[in-house]
Amino acid sequence: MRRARVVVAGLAVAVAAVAIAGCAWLDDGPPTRSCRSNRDCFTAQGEVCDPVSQTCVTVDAAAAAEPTP
Amino acid sequence: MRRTAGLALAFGLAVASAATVLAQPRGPSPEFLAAFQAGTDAYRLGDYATARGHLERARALAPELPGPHRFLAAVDAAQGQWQACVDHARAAIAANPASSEIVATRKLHDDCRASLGRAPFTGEYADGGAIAVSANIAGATVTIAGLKAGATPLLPRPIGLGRVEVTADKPGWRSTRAEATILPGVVTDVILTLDEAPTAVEVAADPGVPTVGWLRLDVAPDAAVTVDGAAALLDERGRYTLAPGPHVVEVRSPGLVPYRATVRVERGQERTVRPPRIALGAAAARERRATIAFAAAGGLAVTGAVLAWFSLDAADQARDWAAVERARPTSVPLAETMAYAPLRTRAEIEARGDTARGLAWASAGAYLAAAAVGGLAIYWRTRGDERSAIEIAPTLGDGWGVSVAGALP
Repeated sequence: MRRARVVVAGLAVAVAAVAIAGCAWLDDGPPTRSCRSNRDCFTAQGEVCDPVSQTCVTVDAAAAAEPTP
Repeated sequence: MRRTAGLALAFGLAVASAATVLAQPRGPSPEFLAAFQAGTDAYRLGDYATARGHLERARALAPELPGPHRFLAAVDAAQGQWQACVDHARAAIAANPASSEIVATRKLHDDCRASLGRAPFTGEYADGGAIAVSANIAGATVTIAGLKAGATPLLPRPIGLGRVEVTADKPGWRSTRAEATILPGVVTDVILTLDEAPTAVEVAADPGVPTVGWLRLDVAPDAAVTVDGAAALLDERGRYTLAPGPHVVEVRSPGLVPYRATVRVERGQERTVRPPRIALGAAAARERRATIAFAAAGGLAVTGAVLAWFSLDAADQARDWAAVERARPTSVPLAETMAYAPLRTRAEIEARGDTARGLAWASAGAYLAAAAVGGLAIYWRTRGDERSAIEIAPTLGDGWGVSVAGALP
């Protein structure tokens, strides 16, 4: 009887662990700087979406990256 | 002297004359003619019972004449007595093969014989007859007049007239013989009966299918063996005779770990099981080691799950912060919006994401370690000491399936 309880507990732990691991595997993960438009960036903090690199950059950096005519 | 010789000559002439008179052919008696005529008249009137009585009386008066036999055959045919019809027709043919009625008699014979279901003769009789041989068993070798003629049933075949001896033989059966008289222009049927020889080997309908199987155990002599919970007894060959199917076998030997397994016994097959002989002390040590390993594996799995949970939480938090910062309006000063939602810089959010990734890697490592330690524990518990080797194999016989031998201790 005790052995059975231990086996059941072990199986429960294994199932829970596998379930949580599955959630982590399917999770989107933390946000990144990638963007498609300015709406994907922190515009209130001065970020804009660089259309070339498709990443959020600050306005000053965007200006610096702009080629001089 | 002369007188004596004359008397002897006269006596001799008298005797010769009387013998000549007696030797002259005589016609049928009036009684025969009356009975025969009455029989044929009754037959033609359809009174077969009366006809049979008159004809049998006529036959008794002159059995050598074919007429009563022929008409008796006709009466038999009218009354559906086919075998009697054949017998009377044969008697008529035998009485006078050259009768002016022979063609009709043969046809009557053949019709009655056909009604008995016997094969007709399709060849030419020429000046002889034909013979057909059948028996109560098929395939018996038929010998006619000392020559092998084939096997039963032997279809009608031409043969010369007269008496012949017919024998039939078959292994396992007593030979039998019969004599037959072949008549011209008709098939003579010989029907033989073979009796089963008492010395024949009796073959059972299902001789090779045993109803049990056998289990041989390689255990110490002082081991106590139980099968399905009951003490088992060995047969004279040192095996356990069991019904086909699964059986729970337990072996208990002094100082050794008890062995318990489910063994599937197949019909007609002997199976040998060798339970491992493990000392109780060594088994306990391995048991402890395996238990510790199982516990460590469980702890590592829990650690992995907790780290994964924290990783998920950190990632969620980073996503929430990013969503707030994306939605923060540009038309309102930051100082005002910060009163509703604290400002999270890109660096802070990325640091939170890095934390989530680090926790995820740590979680994965903990899971891998748990799997490795758990596998080691299972190995120690099952295969490492061969304490309860598990054998899995497909089985055929009483159905199909998978045979599992051995069990977890």
